[in-house]
Amino acid sequence: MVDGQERLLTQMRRGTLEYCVLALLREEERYGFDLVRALAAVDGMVTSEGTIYPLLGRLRRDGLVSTTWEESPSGPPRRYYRLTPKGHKALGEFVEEWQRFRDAVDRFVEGGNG
Amino acid sequence: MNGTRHRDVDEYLQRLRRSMGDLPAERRDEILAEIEGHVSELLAETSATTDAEVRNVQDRVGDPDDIAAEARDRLGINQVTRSEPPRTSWPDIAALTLLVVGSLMITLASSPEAMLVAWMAAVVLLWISDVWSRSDKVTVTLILLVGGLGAVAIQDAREPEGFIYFASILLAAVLPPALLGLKLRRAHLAGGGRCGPPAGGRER
Repeated sequence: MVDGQERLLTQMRRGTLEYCVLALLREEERYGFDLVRALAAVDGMVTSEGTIYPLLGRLRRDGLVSTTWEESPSGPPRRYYRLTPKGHKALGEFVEEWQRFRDAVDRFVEGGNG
Repeated sequence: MNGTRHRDVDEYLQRLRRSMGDLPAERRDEILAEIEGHVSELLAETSATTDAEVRNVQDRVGDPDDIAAEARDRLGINQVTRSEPPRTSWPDIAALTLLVVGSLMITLASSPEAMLVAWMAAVVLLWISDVWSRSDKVTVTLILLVGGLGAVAIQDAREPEGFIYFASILLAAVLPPALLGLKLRRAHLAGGGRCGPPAGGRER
């Protein structure tokens, strides 16, 4: 059961994590460590912190985010991620679909359907 | 964190680099650099210095194999070397060798005893192996059984129709190693040459 729950959570996270990242970048640019901290603050969104970086790399390759190097007050420079217009558009489309989808699922799982 | 980094951190980053060995170099270096930065920030934030604290930081960042798997998945790179088709290992080679040794024993040294011992050992190893299919194993075992019985019979009888026995032994001596060798080679080719869908990715 625990195994099954874990798998279900992994699958749901797989499809939605990238949009959570995009949403976190909607208002401000952030660097990787900061992004991970924001995601990890919400239960269940991040298991291994390092796995976020392959995702960030892909978002960059797909042109949904762009990056710039900025000095850090301590230590080496940081790579900051920010949403591109394409990223904004992808996020907007997801939010619309997600609300529709969530409502649809809720109608069934919350009972009283019919 | 003045310059000197805990040796476990370097070792961890090395492991991560190895785990991502099959990724395009540019992607791999980017992910590595980011995770290196992440680890530094974590170490600084938690002021981890003891072995246990450093290990705790590594646990948070994650297992190198998991990160590499995530990278393959996100970058659409097919995993070939790790989700391996059964790989040839020493018992498989030993089984083949023993088959040939047994065959030589009966054809050249005319020693059915030595042949039987070698073939029996070969059959045991054959059934342990997972590079050959069950039907291959059954076929080879049956051929050897017939050949082995033929050898024993030839030794007991030494009669004119012994020629038929000898032919069957010769067949048993040649067929199994040939069949298994061929299948082994094919499994090898399938393992190394299986092509992943997206272009690019694999470099080795």
